[in-house]
Amino acid sequence: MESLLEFKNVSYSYPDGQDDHPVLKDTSYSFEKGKVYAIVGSSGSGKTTTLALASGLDSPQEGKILYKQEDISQIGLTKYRKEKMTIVFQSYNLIYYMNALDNVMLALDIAHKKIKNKKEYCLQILDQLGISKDMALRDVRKLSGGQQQRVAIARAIVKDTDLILADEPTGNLDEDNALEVMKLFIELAHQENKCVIIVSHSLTLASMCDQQLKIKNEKLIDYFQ
Amino acid sequence: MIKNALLSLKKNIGRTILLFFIIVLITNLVIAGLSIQSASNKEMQQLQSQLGNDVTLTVNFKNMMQDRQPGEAVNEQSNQITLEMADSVKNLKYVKNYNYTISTSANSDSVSAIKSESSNNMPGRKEDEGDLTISANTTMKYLDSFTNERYKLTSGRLLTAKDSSSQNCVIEKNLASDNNLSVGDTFTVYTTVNDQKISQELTVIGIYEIQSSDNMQIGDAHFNNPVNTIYTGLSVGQTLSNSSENLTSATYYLDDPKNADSFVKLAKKKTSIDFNTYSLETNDQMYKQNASSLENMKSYAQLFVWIIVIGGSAILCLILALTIRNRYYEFGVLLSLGQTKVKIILQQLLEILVIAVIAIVISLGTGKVAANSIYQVMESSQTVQQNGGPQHMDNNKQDQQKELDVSITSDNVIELFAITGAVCVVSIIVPATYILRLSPREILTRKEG
Repeated sequence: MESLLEFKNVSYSYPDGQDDHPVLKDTSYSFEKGKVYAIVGSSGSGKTTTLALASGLDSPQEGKILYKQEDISQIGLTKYRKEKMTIVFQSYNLIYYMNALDNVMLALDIAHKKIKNKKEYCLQILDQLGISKDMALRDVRKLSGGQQQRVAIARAIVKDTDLILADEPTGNLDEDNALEVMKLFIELAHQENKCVIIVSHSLTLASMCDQQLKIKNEKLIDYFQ
Repeated sequence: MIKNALLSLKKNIGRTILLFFIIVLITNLVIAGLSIQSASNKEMQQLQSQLGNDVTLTVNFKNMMQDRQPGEAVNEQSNQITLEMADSVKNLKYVKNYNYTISTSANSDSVSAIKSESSNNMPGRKEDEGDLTISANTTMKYLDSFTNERYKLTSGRLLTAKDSSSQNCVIEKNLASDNNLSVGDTFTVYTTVNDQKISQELTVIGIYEIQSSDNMQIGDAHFNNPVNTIYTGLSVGQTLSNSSENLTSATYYLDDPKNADSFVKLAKKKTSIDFNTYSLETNDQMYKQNASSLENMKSYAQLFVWIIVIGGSAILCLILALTIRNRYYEFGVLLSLGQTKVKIILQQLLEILVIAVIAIVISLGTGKVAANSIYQVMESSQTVQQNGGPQHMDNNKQDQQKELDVSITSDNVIELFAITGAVCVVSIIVPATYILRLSPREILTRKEG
């Protein structure tokens, strides 16, 4: 399978008093298209840091992160976030003064995606995720947690990037909604050939993914290794 | 970006209204300061053109009296200004125009002076002294009484430099009507110099009316009564005083009142005039008095604008810093979506500028009221400072200050836009940069935390 995202000898540490607290040390891992990855582990294990590095929200102190064999720092982190990947957060991270439709369209505007009938296209994606037009035009804060997370996923899908990252996307959802969201990610990977990397502390949800990873001894490794 | 900015303003209506009121306050105060500043400037320019740009060459009476021995008579004749002296000054730098004057008294058989009670019993009055005053000038164009419109021409014309050698004259309306004189009529005046009677025929070419006069006092002799003054060309004065060399005074009109002191220094350096006997007196007291009060007003207004700009920026920065703290979340989301920091700042700027434009438009209507109120406060505080209390101001100064036109000009509007724009830019950039210097992850983490 084609490698989409690759951690190459990546090291990252937090300043901790006079010393540094290492999170990743000389770690390498390759993520492929068409697969759903779950990075599991307890709080503070470094899984969110790994996602932050993969999404270009932070930079490694050593090593490289390659997207389609190109260093993301060479692509430019802003451009990388704008054009190459999307990220879904636990707290949805929707812009509260916009309705659901505007939130989804915002992602297209920022990415400068030229799509005919942009509004119809976004409404269609929202509808596929169970957000009706009526709901799409409603104040985003008046939607339920599950609905808001679907809007966040719609915002990720609409950009049509190969890489989708998700930080605890089911953390605020009930079991049914969590399962629905996981199914969506799996469909995206398997049917749309996306690479989906999910950070979760739930082993149950992680077991639905194609590959489970953990951080052990500052290395990103297969969970069952 | 525009759509997002408008959405944000609409959804955060409380913040929008708060910012709107603060910016309305700032813009009103700024426009008040600016309009007072420009009104002061305008008034100073007018003052410069109207007042105190003249310097007069006269006998230094103070020195003359000091040199006099006790009991000795004052010899005015020996210390008179000569045409040669006056001419040596007229071509100096700073001199824009000049006027020479010969003042003398005269009598007439055909024209009767307008009598003042008790004038015939004036002590010390010589018998041969005339009832009429002859004011012979190079030109009437620059005479204070006419330029200040205290005297107003009612028919004919004033004397110009071309009339200098003619027998033309300009007389007062009452003198003309009492003696049935009108433009084109002639009459004869005479003086007696060294027992020699000198006659001069005069032709009336203009009649003036006195609107107000500083000179006329109850009980004054009629030769002091300004209605009895007859304006003539310089040659008539020379004839009647029987002297082609002596002048009563020479007045020089400078290009700028600020140059008065430099002009006096230059005259002392470049001419052979004995400045112990003669002096060049700058008549810029009025200008200095008014200009200093206007200068104060202008600098107060300038200081006021600066205080408002700095204070307004600080208050806006503080409020925006507090409100932007609540927007960590939004900034983080936008950054995670790939929005550039510049565009995030531009959206914030756009939001505040939309509010500012509305505030400016409103303040253009309310600014004049604010300007006048602030001007009144500044004026009264300045009067208290200058006089040590709210004392009586001289009439001219009071009138002049009352008339200060504190109105909003197009330049004020442009300046207001520029200043408000700058305040908005500073108020947005400072707090936004404080946040955006952090990495996107730090911003998101802070929001999470």
